[in-house]
Amino acid sequence: MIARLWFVPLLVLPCLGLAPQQVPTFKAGVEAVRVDVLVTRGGVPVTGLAAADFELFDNGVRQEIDHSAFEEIPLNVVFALDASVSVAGERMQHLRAASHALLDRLKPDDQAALVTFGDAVVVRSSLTHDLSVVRTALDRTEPSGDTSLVDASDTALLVGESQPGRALVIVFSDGVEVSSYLDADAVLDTAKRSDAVVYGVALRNLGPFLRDLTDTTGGELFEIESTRELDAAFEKVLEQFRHRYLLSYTPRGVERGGWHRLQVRVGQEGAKVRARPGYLGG
Amino acid sequence: MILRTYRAGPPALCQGDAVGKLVLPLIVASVLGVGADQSDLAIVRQWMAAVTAHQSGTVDQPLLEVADMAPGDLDTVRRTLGPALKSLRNKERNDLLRRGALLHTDIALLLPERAAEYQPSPESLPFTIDLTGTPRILRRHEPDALFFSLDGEYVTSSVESGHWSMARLLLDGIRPHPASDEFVRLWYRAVAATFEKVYLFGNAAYQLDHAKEVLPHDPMILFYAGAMHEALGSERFQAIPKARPVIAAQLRFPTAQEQWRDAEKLLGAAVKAHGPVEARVRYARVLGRLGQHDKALSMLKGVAPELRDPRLQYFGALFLGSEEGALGHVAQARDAFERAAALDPTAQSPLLALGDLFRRAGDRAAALDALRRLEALPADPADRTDPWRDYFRSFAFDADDQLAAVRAWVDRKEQP
Repeated sequence: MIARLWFVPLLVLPCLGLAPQQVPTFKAGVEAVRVDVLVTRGGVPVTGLAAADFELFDNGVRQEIDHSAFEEIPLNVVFALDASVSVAGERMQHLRAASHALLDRLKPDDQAALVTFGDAVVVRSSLTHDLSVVRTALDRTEPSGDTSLVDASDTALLVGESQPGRALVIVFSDGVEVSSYLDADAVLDTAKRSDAVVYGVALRNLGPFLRDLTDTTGGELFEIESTRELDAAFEKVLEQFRHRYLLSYTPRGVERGGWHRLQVRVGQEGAKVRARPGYLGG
Repeated sequence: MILRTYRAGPPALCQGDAVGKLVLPLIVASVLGVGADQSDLAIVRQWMAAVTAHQSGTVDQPLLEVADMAPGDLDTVRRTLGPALKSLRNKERNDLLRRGALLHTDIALLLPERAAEYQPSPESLPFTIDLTGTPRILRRHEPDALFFSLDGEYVTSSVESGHWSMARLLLDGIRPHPASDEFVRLWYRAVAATFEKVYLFGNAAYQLDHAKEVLPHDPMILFYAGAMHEALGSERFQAIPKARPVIAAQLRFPTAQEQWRDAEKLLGAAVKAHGPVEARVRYARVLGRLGQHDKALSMLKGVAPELRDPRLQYFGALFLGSEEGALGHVAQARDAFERAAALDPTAQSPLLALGDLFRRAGDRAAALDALRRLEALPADPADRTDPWRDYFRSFAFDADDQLAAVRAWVDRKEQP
């Protein structure tokens, strides 16, 4: 129902108007495209790669990578946590504990934000360096209502884009979409314009939306059997995200508009590359 | 078997003008006495006595008596009642059938666990109480599965209580034809609304499928049926087959597109039949879901001046914004979403829609402004309202009043 017709990208990066002190290796550029990339071999992240180690193709046309960065860019971690009624009790306790533990693992330059959702989507904390604000908001969250997974994911993406930096959105849910107003396909379409990477942690098969969202943004969906596994899952998400490379290039030899299919390769035997499959240009 | 006699009900229930509550069973019993099996006769007498003594809407002794009847005895009533009523005058016959339908409705609504224990035997299903009193073969089919979910997750499945089909069977016997009977019309509307109000769309479907056969042109039945299919096309229900494809395949769960097409047909018919103004709002939304944005936009613009209920004004503005947005009319979409936001200042849906609209339009500043407004809403969900939360059942919020009206109808002095 929401528009699917216009493709005016946020991806072309005014949002890379990063503060110099935060991201010394990047310059802002309206033509630049950034791609968050995870390289693994045998399930273990591969570190120590330089820009020259990557091959990047935009709609089949090889691009020159202007910059690559690893670890040094501060994170904007956005929690999008299911606080519907089905999470009440032990699940909520596990969720709070796992979220606090992840906050413990953030670095001083990192920021965090908290979005919770039942049928109401509540932005309990916007991005802040003061993690105590997020902790307090987390402790005050009480489960209620149905599950608005789509609305909350859309909001979390927007929170992630609200400040310069490298956005990691962590979506946790134990239930399927029930009560959102926004259309799932429309939100997936919006995600194609976003630089944020979404990781999902789901208690069970939630249907295709969260898997599609994580695939679209180059993240990953982890399915767990019990909320007791949340702490380990969140740690894995952060560990994996910290070992991602951020590549930047200025598209050449391709049309600006429409869907741009991305392929990223690494010239190392056995290496697997995870990146978003493309982006919407305009 | 215990045969009971009842004292007359409270005075209000004794005001039926033609047939006293104690007289009716005697008439029918005398009819049944000619050539009827004596044990069948006793069962039908027991049922008749309970029907006439039951005070609708209450759990009284007559209600418990019928609820406790063995399934085979209820099947006997199904088989035997048609021929038994043949010689009754229409007025007496119809009063009995209406009261019987209400009694079985009350069992199903007030004693649901006991009601679930009764499933008619396949042998008793083909019988009907028709115009001639001669049993005829009905369209036979396996009962559909009722599919229960909680927060989008499959919980269990079952089939409809036989007390509902009993109520419908009784109403089918009304003369000269159930379609011309006001009580039948009110009963189907009230029962459908009762189920839809609490998201029991599977149960509503049983009633509405039959209602569409009996009252194919009734605007409210068409509206309820259309709204039901619209709801069944929503994520609230479609999430289940997505998450549980094996179960969905076994149950032949229709897709969202199939549900929207059914909703389009039924809501369109409700609009043509001069159904409630809400039918036009919902019809427009369904058209939008099916990609007919121009038509949806035109309908929403046309109906807007006629919307008096604030809830409908909100939906009208919200959906208009979405259709304007779908057609690339950013400014018009913004204005419509802002109208919806003004109608319900703590509603999140217009702000979410604004954020999405502006991001697609590349207006990052405006999108972030919508985010700030969302952030400023009360943190406690209990302090917020958003009519969207109840969109898929709010059209049936008057179900209790409708049911009360149906119950009061049989005690009116003037009955056709």
